[in-house]
Amino acid sequence: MIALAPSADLLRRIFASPMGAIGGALLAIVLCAAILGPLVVAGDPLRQFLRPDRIFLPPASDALFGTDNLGRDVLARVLAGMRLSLALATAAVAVGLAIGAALGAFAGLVGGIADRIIVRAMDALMAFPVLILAIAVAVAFGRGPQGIVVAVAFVNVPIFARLARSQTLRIVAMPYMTAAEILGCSLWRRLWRHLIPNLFNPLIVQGTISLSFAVLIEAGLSFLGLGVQAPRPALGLMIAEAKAFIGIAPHLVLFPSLGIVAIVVALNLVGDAFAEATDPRRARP
Amino acid sequence: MTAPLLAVERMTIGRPGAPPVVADMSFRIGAGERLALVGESGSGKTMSALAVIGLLPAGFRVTGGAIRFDGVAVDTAAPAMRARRGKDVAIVFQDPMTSLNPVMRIGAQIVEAIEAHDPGIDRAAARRRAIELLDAVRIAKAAERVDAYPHEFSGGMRQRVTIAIALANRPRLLIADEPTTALDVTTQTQILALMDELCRAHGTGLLLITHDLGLAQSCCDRICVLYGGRVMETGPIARVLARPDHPYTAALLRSVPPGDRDVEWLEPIAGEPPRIQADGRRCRFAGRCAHRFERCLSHDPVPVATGPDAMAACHLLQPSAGRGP
Amino acid sequence: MSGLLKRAVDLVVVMLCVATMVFVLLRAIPGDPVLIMGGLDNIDAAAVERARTEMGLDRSLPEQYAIWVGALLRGDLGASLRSGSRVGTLIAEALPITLQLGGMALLIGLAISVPAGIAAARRAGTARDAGITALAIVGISTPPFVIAMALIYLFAVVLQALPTSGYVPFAEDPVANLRHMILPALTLGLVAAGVLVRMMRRCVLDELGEDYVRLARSKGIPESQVTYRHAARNAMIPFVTIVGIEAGILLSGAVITETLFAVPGLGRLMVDNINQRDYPVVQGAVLVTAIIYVLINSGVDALYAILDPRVGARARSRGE
Repeated sequence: MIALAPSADLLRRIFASPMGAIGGALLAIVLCAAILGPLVVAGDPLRQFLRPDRIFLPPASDALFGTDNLGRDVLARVLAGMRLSLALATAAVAVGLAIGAALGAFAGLVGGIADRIIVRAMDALMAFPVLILAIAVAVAFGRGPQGIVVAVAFVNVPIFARLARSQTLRIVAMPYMTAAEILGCSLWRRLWRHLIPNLFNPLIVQGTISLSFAVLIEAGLSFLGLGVQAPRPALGLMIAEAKAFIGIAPHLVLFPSLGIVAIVVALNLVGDAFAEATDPRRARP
Repeated sequence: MTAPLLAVERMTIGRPGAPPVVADMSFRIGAGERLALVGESGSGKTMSALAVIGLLPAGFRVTGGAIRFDGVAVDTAAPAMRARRGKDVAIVFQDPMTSLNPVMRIGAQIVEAIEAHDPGIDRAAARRRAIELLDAVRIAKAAERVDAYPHEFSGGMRQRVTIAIALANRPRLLIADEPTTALDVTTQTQILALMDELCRAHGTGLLLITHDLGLAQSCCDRICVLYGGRVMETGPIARVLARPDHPYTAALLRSVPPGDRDVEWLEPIAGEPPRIQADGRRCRFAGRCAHRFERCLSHDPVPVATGPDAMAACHLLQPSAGRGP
Repeated sequence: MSGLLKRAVDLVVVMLCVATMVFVLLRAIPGDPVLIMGGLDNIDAAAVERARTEMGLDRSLPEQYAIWVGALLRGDLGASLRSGSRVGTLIAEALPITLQLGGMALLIGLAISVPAGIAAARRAGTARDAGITALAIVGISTPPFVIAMALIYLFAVVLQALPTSGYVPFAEDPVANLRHMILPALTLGLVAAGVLVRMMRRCVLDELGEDYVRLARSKGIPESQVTYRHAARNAMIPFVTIVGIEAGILLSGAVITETLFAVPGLGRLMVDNINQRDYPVVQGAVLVTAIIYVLINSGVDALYAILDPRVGARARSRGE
């Protein structure tokens, strides 16, 4: 039975390293905050209090992260924004992985003209600085979260395609694939039993790395006004709106920023720990 | 009696908390003497050499015993050792293809060794000395090639360069860690002859690490046989190889083709070298020894003098064993 | 010579792919440029038609594509739909600004990352190493606009020392130019440093494990000399490749930074005109950006040959 999920041993190794442990803990905190937060925290991210005594409140016991220019509770908004970022990034990377891996594996298996076309297309896509490509796609899809998902998925497709293709080429050349063929294994069976399980690990490692970038890109896009629109909370958007008030209410920039940084640091640490744990060059005890 | 150039006394090397890779090792090299440290892979010979010059890999330390230069105990891992490294004791490594800095001209690499212990030397003078050294190691057109990069040289020539670097400051002891293993047979002979000649010319002592008994015999006066990180036997090389006192040495000799006649069969030594474990008290070779008996599995053998300057560590040699060599 | 020719052909092919992709992407954006540019009130249908014809938007898509590529091959990037200015001119004005920004950012990034990376590698495993690595991780996890905000807060609000937007050409007033450019350059430089520190550390660590470093130590030279003259010197070779990749990231980051600090560079040109559906300008700007990126990577390859005598020798022996 081929184990498709990371084995318990691998997980243990990832979180045993200092990077993995800190990253894991941080990620757990971030996930709890984002998912459970709105249930626990009283504030409403959208409710405005346009009274002079309720706007621009500094962080205090009453409103933990203070309130913004429209009297909205910053803590509630940051938590909602974190949830949005995680959801969008995960969706986007999942889509990008699925499409990219399929394309890449296909190119690796089929070879010939199709392979060459796909490779050139992926190279051309990667010649674009990432954000510019994302902006173009996001604008093409109009405002709203779906544009973000498509944009981030789009920039991820070439990365996963290249990875899947090089891994496919490597695996197909392995003696055990030839042996399976000689033994009469059908193509589908060979793919299912050998190719896919071996693609899994490198794709997951890249996936975790891509997640952290996806969150950053999403933040950048929402900073530029693409993606979800005001008054809904998106971390980048909140920072863009707060720029004008940085002199009088720096906490409006600080807390959403911390939210982004916390998520990305956690993802980076876990991703790095994962990459190290699955690196075949590491000496095994 | 003057103290020997190098005296290693009951040296133990290992990572703290882990079983030692070398234990209780003792040998001596006098001025101008040549000692061959012989053993299979994993016997601890390279580690011993690195410990003497103070270049043990990260994590490894000399955890017991002493290393003495001219009778004075020295901590080879301490910063003070730097003054001796490259000046009193130098080393040549196994793989000439990776031993030289690829982006630095070979002349500069030799000059660096010279300037390390003579900081005031004039650059031109150092360069002249580098060219002299290249000449001494028989690199043709030394004056032209001094500015070449390592990749422009073959393996044999690169090894000559590393020898030039090692001998730049006329060290009193040269350690050579399998200096010819990575070279083809013809070059091997040349390099060895070169080292032999240069050491003789300057009275340099030699610690030759090798797994090749023939090489050891052609080059060295004395031999120290290692197995599993323990010394099995030491002594004058001609005598030890002609009449070994230790079963391991004898087995080694039987497993190698003799240079002077044909044989039908070679006798391999059954089994594999031991993995480093906390074996407790037992002879390291007992697992593969044809002559073992109960005591071998429960007690460390005690070194027994087998001649004026020789010893072997084997229970067979103990008077109590009742069996003679 | 054939190596260079192959390289040039590759470049052209990639450029064509990029151009095609840009064309397709932009046309996929819903929204009629004429209407958007003109504002959506009281449009006279006839005027719209006239504008379309003028801009060439009434032709079929394949026709537009053919015209675009044809003009490209002649070196003509077209004209802005909005203002009619030659795209080439607009880009020529914006490009040096972005290049200055990128150059300054790269210098700052290298000035931070090279010494920090070497220091971390030298003391690998110690608290100093952990500290530097932690800073680097936070650095790469912080979006450029957050770094920009932090710098703005520090220098403009608290210290009130530097302007937060605008641009003055260098030729006009070098000091004012630098005062306006320093914050955006510092922003991008810190972003770059975050990535580069860990790469430099990795490269130096890899070299420190090599045989020639052991031989260098055996000469009795000081450890600092081992680190710099041997390990770091060799580490620069793989590091330079990474710097080339980093250039792409810098170009991305420049977009947001230029927008934030109101610096009229290529990035801002793109963002402004995407919203306006000014296709020719965006097409031209993206194309030029991609060309720069590819050129930088080619430059890195050439630099490799200079830094590594083995590569240069092999290339020369192949007759390139």
